[in-house]
Amino acid sequence: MQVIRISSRAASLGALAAAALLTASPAHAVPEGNGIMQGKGFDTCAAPSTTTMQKWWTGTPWSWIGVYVGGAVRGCSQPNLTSTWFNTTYAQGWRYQLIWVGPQAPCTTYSSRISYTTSTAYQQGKDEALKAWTAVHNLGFGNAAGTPIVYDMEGYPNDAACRAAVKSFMQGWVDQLAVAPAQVSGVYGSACASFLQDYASLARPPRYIWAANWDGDPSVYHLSCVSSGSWTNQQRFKQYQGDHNETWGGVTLNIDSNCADGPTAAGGALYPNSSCIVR
Amino acid sequence: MSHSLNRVSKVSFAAAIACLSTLGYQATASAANGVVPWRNQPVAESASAPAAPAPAQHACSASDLKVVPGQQGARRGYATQELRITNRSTESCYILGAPSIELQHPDALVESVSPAAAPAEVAQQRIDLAPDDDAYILIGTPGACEASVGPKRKVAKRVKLFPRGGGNLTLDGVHVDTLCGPAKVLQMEVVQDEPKQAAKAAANAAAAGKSLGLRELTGAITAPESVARGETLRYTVTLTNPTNEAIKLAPCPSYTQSLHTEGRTQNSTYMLNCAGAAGQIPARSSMSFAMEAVVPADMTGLGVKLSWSLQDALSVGTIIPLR
Repeated sequence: MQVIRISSRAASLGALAAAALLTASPAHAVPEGNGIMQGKGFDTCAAPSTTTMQKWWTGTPWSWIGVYVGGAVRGCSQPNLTSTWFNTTYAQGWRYQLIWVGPQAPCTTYSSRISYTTSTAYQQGKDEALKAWTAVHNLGFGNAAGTPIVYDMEGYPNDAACRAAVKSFMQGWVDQLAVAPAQVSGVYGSACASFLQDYASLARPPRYIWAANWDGDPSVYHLSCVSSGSWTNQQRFKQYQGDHNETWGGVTLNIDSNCADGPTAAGGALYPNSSCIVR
Repeated sequence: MSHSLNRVSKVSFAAAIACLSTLGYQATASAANGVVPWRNQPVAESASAPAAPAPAQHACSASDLKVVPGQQGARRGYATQELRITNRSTESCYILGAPSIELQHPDALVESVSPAAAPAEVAQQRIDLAPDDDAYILIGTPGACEASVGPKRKVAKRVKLFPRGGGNLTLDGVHVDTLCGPAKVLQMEVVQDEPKQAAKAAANAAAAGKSLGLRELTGAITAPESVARGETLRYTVTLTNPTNEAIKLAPCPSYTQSLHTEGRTQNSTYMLNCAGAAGQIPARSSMSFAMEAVVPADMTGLGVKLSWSLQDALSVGTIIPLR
């Protein structure tokens, strides 16, 4: 702790007393890395204002938020999303799932799609990982070592060539995130329609999954189309309710509701709602 | 050296407290370890909320609005196109329910986006736009279907928007693919553009020759590794003044602390120990304040969520395991 000296002879006694108590201004930043989060979180299209975030923290079940940090098909503009926003909300107590929404499966209508050619798709996965790292770094997460980043791969038709391309793409995503300073790779998608189970058979699978499974059951261990033997060691998130409005602190947001038993950015917290982790 | 400085601090603090007492501040216990001690002065919770702006009197017309294409996205299984709207007029106006929209394809095909297709909450939604306020409308089409496995696409590059207040707006540069199904308005929201609002507030304050006061402060919280039910939680809040001028704690602000576990919240509001801080946070400095809260013995759950808010200026929080 550093004491700041007052040199002005004109300083009042009161000011002197205050000064004697001071510490130097700390350089405040959101830490890189992660921690295990057990608890509820929400995601919404655009990062709410810090005032809204405070209202959604105080006296609520939420302890983390899914934030769309970038990618070619991120759905909403993000005027609030700056390093200052992360600093402020981190101080409020929030932890994060950082979501990257890059090109989607080649057999979809999204405006940006990956290639059907698996070797190209693999390289595209690596390219997206680099872009995601750059975005996270620029948002104040330092070198983002150990920071979880999740790729949002929306659902797509059950077509063999398409599934092969997506698997290859995701291997590229995982491999590039593993390059130092390594991040923690995650994949978000529909439990069934995004074929999340496919990734379990990758040579180097993603470290965790975030499954959209809107059945109203919060337990991350109750997922359709995902084997109970996959991602068992605090490696799961579940989006159990989608597209609805909730009001907390007088502010209404359109959100998806989630549960966590896995790594969140900037640290974790054991704030379990027991329904999230029922086996 | 350190010992000497600490001694000076303590002497100065005691003298200052004596001085402040004569100025009307209540003297408190002396600071320990450079932390302003907690002051047990509860106050009734303030229920005041900022006055809501008056509702707009007329529906937005095309002449009120500027529209530009926003993000082309993937969300909840829909391929989305964001339309960014700004109220460019000098009066507030409102948008009630999803507007009528036409999609115009390069082959001259025109498809209507029916307001009736929007989700119920959007169909009934009203958004008020003050001058220079922004909103977005999110249009979506199903992002995948059997047909999308092949190369054919059905993309509209132009939309026409028909605000209820009259007129229409034509917008090029969008991407709405209706191959897998018709488009609908998925969502409408006022954009909470905090950097823009902060810049306005700073400009207004500067024009009036005032500072933003408490709103300039940033905060951090230091809490123990765990806390036992029925015990007093002791933690520290550090307020930092990043500006080049002292921020006065006058009138002395209150703060509210909140403890929350599953289904239960306990709020309490106190006056900040302004006397212990000599009535200000000096320029480019930080000051730490000791805080206390009793954790109810019957509080359930494995962790307690702590929130501390200094009026409407700033807030800090954390989650602490419960023993």
